Amino acid sequence: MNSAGNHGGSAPGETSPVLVFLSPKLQELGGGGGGAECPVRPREGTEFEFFDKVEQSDLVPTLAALLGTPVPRNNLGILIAPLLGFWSEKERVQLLYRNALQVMGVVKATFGDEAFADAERVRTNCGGLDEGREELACRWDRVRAVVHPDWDTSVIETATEELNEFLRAAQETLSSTASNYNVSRLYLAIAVAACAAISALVSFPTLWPRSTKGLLYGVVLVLYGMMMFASSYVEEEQHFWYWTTSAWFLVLYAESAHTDLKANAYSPHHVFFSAALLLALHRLAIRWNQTGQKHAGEPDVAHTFFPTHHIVLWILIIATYSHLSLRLARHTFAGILPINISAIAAATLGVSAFVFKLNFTQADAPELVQGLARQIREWSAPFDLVFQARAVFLGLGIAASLVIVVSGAVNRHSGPRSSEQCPKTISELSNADTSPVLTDLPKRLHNLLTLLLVTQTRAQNVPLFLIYELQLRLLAFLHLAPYQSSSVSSTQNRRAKSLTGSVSILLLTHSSFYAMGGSNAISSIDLSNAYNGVSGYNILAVGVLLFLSNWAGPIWWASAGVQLTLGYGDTSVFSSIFSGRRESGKDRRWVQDERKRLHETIKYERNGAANKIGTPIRPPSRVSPWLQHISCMTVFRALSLLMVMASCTALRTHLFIWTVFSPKYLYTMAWCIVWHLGVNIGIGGLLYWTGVE
Amino acid sequence: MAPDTESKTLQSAKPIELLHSQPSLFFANLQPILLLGTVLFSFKSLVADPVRTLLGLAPTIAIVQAIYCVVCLPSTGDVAAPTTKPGQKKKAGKPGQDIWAKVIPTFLSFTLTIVLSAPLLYIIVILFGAPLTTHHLHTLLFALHLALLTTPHLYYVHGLDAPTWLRLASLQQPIDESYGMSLGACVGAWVGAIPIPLDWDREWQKWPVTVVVGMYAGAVVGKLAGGYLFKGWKIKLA
Repeated sequence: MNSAGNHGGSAPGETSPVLVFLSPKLQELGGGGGGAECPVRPREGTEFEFFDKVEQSDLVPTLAALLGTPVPRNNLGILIAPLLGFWSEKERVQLLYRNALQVMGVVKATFGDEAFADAERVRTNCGGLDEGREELACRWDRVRAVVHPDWDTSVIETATEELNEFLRAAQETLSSTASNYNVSRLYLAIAVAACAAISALVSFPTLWPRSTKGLLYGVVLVLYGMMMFASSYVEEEQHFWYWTTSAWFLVLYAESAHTDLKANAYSPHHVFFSAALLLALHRLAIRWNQTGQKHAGEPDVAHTFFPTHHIVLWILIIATYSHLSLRLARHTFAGILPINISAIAAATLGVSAFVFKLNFTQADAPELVQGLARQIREWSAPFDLVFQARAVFLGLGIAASLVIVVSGAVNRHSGPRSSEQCPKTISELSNADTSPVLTDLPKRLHNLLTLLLVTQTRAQNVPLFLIYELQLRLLAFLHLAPYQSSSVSSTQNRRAKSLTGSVSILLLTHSSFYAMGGSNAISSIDLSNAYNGVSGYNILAVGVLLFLSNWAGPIWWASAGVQLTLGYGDTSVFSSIFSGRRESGKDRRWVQDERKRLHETIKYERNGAANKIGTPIRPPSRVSPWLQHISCMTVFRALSLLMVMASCTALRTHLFIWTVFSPKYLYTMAWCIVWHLGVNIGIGGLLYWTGVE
Repeated sequence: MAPDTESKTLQSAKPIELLHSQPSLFFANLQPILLLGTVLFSFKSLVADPVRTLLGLAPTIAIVQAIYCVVCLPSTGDVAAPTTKPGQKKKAGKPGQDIWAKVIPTFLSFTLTIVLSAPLLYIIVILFGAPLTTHHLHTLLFALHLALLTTPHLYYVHGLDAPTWLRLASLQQPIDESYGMSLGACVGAWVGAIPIPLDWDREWQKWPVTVVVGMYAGAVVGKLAGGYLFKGWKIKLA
């Protein structure tokens, strides 16, 4: 184990465990009462080699010999030499010979019987032969020459030596052939992945014009692909995402600050401070959890700051839950329930989720609670954790079904595009305030999804959702700023804007995965929240909860991607926060844009082929923004899958193949299949479809 | 923004030309050699003791940049559009022959660099991932060097004209030698962060050695690319 508690790596600290034998009988081995030497310094050039070094599998024949049982059939270990002192010299040779016979069985199964038939001539030196079949055959011949039924004690030393040589050679040869790959299948899989990647790329240019941002995206793709072949970068992948996201925010700022568009609606100060805040939030989030191998154990917010300032932690958690409850009341239930009932419902959900989080943290990590809220915990003590979790999930399920059913019935034609024609039932029902809050199904469900994800997150990571929420609004603000004023958004503008949004979502998805403590090592999978509400052994439920708790950040950002694509952004709310007054004209701008676009479409269709309008007005792009967003993500996913497969295949004999590259491949599978196909395309697509219905 | 000011500033957004004189061309070509040479010669001491090395190098770099500004670049007062730009220093229209008329803008540029750019860049570097709670002096000196490589010539050439600076920040200004150097230094510093997470555990991977080297390399590459290859090009983001 290394200093961070990780035992999944290949550093000396993790691959040098101590093997200790304890028995009073060992005293008779100690060289006549004097005891054995106990070195204080490790051997020259090593970190942990104080005593003899043996393979882990050497324990097996040793225990078999000590217990008097035969050696297991598939063993690849050698008897540990110092412990052979328990037997007489002749017995030692017999034990070694038995070990060698057993190993020979494995050798013959690997290389075939014919190579080890009786040789006519025994060689004096086996060292010059190729490792593998030839060397083993030679050494076995030498063993058989010495150890035969008529042997006597004069050849004990020679026999011991030959047997040890043979065993060591066999162990080395057989261990390296332990991973025999079906290489043709590897290549076949790579070919299929290459087809996927090529088709994703080919469909990409037809949707996108060549642009600077496309070029930057291409650079990101190429760098990522190259990175997959270096073990350091696979272990420290989070640095790549943090590094790229910072630079991308700078590009985003540069684009938003463009001054040559007519009447840029946002002042340069707003844009500058939004970008600075976005970057600052990102900087805070990346120090939330220290992941990866190189700096594991170094101070971070979740493990260093919060345990000593647990009150701050709980203030932030309460703030997150309150913010969520407020959004539930104002956005999710608005128009569906009367205002007081929706407030009660939102409060109930929020409070029950919070109480569950409190009790769960008390059980899981009491050093974070330290006696806070004793009354609440005492009051909720009769309800066990499983019940509380189920209550929260049930509440969320009821709320979601209610919202879907009622909203779907009432919101038949509602979407940002056509809410002008909507009979205004929504705004009439939501008499809470005068700001025109966009209340559609994806947005309503987003808040419920957030509460679900927060329930599945460790307490220290809960405030990150506040950070993400704020980042999403800033992103929407910056993202839409340069186009806010263009009355006719050309296809090119729309596409470029969509690429910006998609790349931002992609970068933030991955950054959030690592910021919440994920990494490319299997040891960082968090199981603490995988059993919420599950009392027995239920693979499906546990699997779903495990995925939800480890991919909480990416799932949230997938839903946020739907929001950005649909053009939500609460930019009106945000700009009114900044400027201190309600800019009532601006928050209807998209309505005016939509009217103009409809107007132009009608004009175009009237004029028909003879398009007499000065600037070419195309009908609204037939490619939906969702398809553009998804194709951008798919290109990345397909290429990353291809690159990871290629690197695993090319490096299959690398030292780190099982500790670094194949865990990365497992993660890539989870990303591609579960996150991209399941969440991004499946659930995201469903949300989008309901949003534009 | 009134339309006529906007069109005027758009019109005057031309790449900055170097002064046409022998010393100017000579020093413009000498400067990248000086910058790179300084870094290469002090590399060992940079790895051994970054703080002292960077502190010691700062005056040298400042002097190199100052000579570059004075000898090679047109001051704000010499730009073609002569009339009032906000924030323009009241320099007479004498075409930069008077060396003393250039010293004051240079001095002002460096003052602004140290007082305004360096702290701002320090904050930006931290936001980009530089350590916040440790390595304060390292990061501060790195930001100082970044400021010295990116901003003095821009202050000297563009003054404190707000629309121009907004265009510089939003990458709308056409690329030229000085702007190319600034952009190159930033991109080089960013690229210089690549070797840091490798597990080679070398001394030169520690903060801020690689980013400093990347910054200087990027500045030189950017200057050459901006001066010869991409001169006059505009980055098209939207």
